[in-house]
Amino acid sequence: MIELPDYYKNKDKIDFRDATFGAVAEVMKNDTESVLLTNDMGALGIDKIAEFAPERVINVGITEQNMMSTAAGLAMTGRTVFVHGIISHIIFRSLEQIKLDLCVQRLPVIIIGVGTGLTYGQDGPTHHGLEDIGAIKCLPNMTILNPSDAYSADHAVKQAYKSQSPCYIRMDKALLPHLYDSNNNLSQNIFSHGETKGGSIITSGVTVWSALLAQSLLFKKNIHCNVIDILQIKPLNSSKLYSLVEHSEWIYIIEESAHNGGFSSDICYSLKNKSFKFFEIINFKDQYLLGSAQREWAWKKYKIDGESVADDIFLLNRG
Amino acid sequence: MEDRQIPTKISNESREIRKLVLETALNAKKGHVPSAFSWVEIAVVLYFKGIMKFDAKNPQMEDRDRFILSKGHGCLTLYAALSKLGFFPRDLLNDFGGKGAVLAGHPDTEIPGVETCTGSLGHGLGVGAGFALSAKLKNMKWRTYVVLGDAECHEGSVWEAAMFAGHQKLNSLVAIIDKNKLGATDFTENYASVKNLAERFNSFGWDVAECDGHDECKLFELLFAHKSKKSDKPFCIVADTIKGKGVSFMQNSKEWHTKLPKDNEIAEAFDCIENNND
Repeated sequence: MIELPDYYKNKDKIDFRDATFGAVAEVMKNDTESVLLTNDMGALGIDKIAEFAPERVINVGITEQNMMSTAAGLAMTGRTVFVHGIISHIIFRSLEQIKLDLCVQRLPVIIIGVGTGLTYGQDGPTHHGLEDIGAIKCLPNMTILNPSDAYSADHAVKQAYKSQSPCYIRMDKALLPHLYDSNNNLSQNIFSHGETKGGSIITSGVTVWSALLAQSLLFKKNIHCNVIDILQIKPLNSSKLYSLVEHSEWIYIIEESAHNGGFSSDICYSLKNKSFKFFEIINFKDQYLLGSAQREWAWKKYKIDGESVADDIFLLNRG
Repeated sequence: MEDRQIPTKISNESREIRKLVLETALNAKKGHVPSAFSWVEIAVVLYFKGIMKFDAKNPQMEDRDRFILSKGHGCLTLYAALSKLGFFPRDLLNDFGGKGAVLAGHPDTEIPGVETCTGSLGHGLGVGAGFALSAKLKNMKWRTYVVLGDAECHEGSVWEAAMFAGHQKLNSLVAIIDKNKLGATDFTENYASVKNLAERFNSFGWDVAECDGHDECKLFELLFAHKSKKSDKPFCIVADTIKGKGVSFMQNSKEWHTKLPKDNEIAEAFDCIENNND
């Protein structure tokens, strides 16, 4: 279980997949032309969609390349297509189909990948999602959404559908409380938690919970910071990001990715004209994690858990 | 060289297309001419003999038949056919491969009449399966025709799509394999055989037929019959072709994949095409 700040510990926990496919169901009920393809990857939410649209939920088998090409063909006839599978398979096995069949032609295909970071950490590098952002973000026309709770997952699906262009939604399997609700405006695709003074911890996806824990621990040591949740990695809302760190003395980026597989380089690029007391990036370095990289264990080992992040920032602040 | 006789004459349309292909390639100093030549009769039957429904002045007409040249490197034949039909002005051929030109060495969707980008092999049949699935879901009558190379069938994605289309009974999908028996560098038989393609497709749930891929009458007969056939299966024609068909010294040769005629060869090539001297 991902360690949560005290405030969230007793809140109800929601499955990302239920929220995501609940939103997909809403879309598919309204848009009777839309189709969902899976590579033999199931979810309770998919079964619910199949109950009202059995002909539009199609298990194509373990054929990721064909799934993307078929999605393109469907989309070219005016349909919005959702495509679902495990991140490490549907992104890397079919990367060329994503590039040529979906992105070059800017088709409304929404890839919903399950298994961000170390969601499947114990299943070895075949199932880790540590490099996918790096692989996908270089493709023009592609939007990357990385929700951090059920509410932002719902928002991501609806935003992707509205865009009518290629989108990649990264979906976790963790049970987590609501971080956002209808009182929060997520339209800028970036959200700041806490006061914009002191420093900024910038992160995306479920590591937001590490950042929030670190923030609460640092507060007790009189170190102040905001936590910036990048809900849309590409295109990055650089101007909003810049405004959120305008008064920040330091930047600390947490990414559950390999060194070049995440979003930190995009943050660096966006903030290249600004100087800080320190600018630190923590991730899994340029390597594969062999063996059973159980998420909480690996977060502690590579110091991207909340306590390690708080300790590191404390030391960096002391100089 | 293969010991084989092709008994058919070359039709006027196919002769004109071959001349256009060669002129275009020579002008640009680039192009996969033999790969374009091997499927000329297939293109002629689809586009000029009433098999496919389309409107050159309205390329996006909703109920058009869809065509995908999955072996995108053979695009010079497609460009020649589309220009002859009026999808775009003939002048565009003169700028093939030029600076910022519309027509590149592999087709993309900026070109009127081109449905999808091809050129990396193994994509077309899957996209075609998507077209056919959409037609089935909508109960639309359009058909999808995909031309693949036989060497392209080395790609695993072709068989993913074949399996999917067979299972889904996408009976509006037609795959035509341009079986010229040559890849880019050698005969497929010498490095990865693609024998028995008809049997392979049949085992994936397809109706299949084999024919001489330069026999327009036979191709027409098969494709026309399929339009009224009540099968619930997709249809595959394995068309036996000759790479470089129409120019004697290019035919069935592994030397000419991207090579262009020069000096005296140019006149000889046009002479072959003009006089069916292949």
